[in-house]
Amino acid sequence: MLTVTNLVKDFSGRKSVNGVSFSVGEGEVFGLLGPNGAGKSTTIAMICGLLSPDQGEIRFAGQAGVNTKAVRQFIGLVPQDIALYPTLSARENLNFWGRMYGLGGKVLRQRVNEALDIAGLADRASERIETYSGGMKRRINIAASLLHRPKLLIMDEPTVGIDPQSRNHILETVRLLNSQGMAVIYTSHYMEEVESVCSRVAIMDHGKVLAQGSLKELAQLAGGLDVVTVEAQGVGQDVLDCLKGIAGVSGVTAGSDEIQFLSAGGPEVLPEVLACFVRLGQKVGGVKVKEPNLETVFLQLTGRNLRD
Amino acid sequence: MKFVHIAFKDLRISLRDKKGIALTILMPLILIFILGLTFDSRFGDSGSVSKYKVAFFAKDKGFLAKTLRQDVFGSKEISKMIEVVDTTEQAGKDMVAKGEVSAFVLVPEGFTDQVMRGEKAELELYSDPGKPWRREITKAVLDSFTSQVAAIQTGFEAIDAVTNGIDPRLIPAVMEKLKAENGTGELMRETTRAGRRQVSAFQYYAAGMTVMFLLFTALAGTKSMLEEKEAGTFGRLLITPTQKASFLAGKFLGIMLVSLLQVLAIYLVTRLLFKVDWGSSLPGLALLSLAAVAACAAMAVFVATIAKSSKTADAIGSIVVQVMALLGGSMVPLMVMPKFLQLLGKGTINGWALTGYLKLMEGRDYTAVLPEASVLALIAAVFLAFSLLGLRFQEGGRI
Repeated sequence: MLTVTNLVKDFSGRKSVNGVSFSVGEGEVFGLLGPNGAGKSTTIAMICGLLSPDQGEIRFAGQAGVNTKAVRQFIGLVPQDIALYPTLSARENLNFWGRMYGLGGKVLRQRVNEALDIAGLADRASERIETYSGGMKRRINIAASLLHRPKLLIMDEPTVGIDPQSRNHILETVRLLNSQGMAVIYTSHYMEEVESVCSRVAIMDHGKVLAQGSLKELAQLAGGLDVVTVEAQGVGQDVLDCLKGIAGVSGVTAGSDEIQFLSAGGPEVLPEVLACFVRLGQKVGGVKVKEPNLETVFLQLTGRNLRD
Repeated sequence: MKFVHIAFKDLRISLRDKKGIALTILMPLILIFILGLTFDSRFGDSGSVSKYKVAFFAKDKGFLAKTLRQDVFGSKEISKMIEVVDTTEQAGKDMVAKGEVSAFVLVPEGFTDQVMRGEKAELELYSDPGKPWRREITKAVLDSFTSQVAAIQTGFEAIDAVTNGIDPRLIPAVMEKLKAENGTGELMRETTRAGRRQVSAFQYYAAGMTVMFLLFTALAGTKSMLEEKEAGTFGRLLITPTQKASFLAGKFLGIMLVSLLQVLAIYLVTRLLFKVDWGSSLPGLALLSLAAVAACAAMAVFVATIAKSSKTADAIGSIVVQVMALLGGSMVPLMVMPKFLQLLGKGTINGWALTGYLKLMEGRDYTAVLPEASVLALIAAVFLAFSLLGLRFQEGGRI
């Protein structure tokens, strides 16, 4: 359905996207996971034809070129920002965006009603967008991308800054659309979301794809490492150094109230870890050991957390 | 037809913007009211009247013509204020038309004989409506002269009545009748330049503020375009099967619709509330307004294609609009500005529009504003062409 080969975008000597390649199959939910500034939005902008790549190729259904009418009917974009008119109502916004896709009359009315139903906001359709909560705005932002029934929906960080209820609604919407046969590219820096909806994932950082594959394939990249989190406040450098000296411990990172590291030996390293804390007079609130996940993979690949 | 949907979407957004409506319609009306009231009594001249030129030609060879030229205009007091230029009839009219003199006084052939015979006789005054103070002074001089002549005329008529055997007791009644028929000043006919009417302060500022606030509406249009880029709606639009040119045309039409509503609202309110006479040529008003609005809207979309951000456009645009308003005569009347500033005013959209509106207010028809409308239409075409070019080379927008 979509093949991206060796994309490069250079902004004043800084490569925002540097040799990105991946492909998305029909009916697939493909995740682009990476921290802010990883190059996800720039990659999407090139796929949508908003930016021209300096190098590389983008093919839709085997055809090269992105700025054709057919491609524009083929894809739907959910932008990261709320790209709606705040002083117009939800219905007025959807009517407008529908018309921009060449819809009109009965078909437009029907599609707008369908989109409002998907957003779960049919009863508030006549209210202005500016009166909506952040989550409601995001749902209409998605609805506006569905009016022309695209085959590939590209969602750029669709859940930024919203409440858990709206987040769940959006994730359910992705599953619903996918069950109807729509392919989705889902970009996020929230590992849990990507894990929850995507069948394949590309992990991006500093403009490059570090790894890609199914969730299972990526988990194997972590090499059977567990993620260990120790709850402790104000941990000093001496404790961190002590942890780094333990065999089987890697990727030690410190947060404000916790320390995280990868453990090759699972819980077996814990006595030595706790000994470091006790010896250096550092209080411990609790310890968690998790199976490897995308976060582990990212930590393993970059030495950083996704939210760093 | 996507551009029509874009335009009507913008119109709807504008009509819901109460602050915007206050700025584009209420603000100019308030300023028209204040400036109109402030300058109404002494509008149009420089305030202090220095010595000025009046052309004079007497077709009449009688003593009244000589008296007017030598004893009235040649008197010490009048000579301090008025420099009389002796000329011919056509040359005198031309001099007024070209603005070389403030007025032209023509004494018609047989004026003295007509007065002596008690027949109707009129002095002719051609004046420049742009110099109302000078016109008033010249008129006052002639009024004074004609009232004396009227008295003489009434006397001769009374004598004539007596000699024809009318009862002398009827003379007072005859004099009253003559006064009622002629009155003072009836011996003078006044014509402003090419039959034009004088423009009042309310009229001037109605036109001046309209064109100035058209520029502000254009600036708001520029901001709206840039805000669409910043908010991501422009980027979203480009992902739909909509051409950049449609976006541009839609924005252009949207600004035009808002501006035309603005002009219509100011026209109706000033006409009904302040009794502003916008002239009698509705086609002229429509043509000029359309051209002015098109030029402003085209400038707005052009600035939006070259500006980096809405904040920059707002900051720089506000200054540019105010400079244009000043040079174009929206704030200070064109005729009191130094010549070089008047020349600079020719480089502004509002300068051309204002000149056109003033022509219509002077009572001229749509043909008189064809040059202004053409220049404005040309400005619109050039800005639109550059906007299209600018947009073509721009990359989409943020998402």
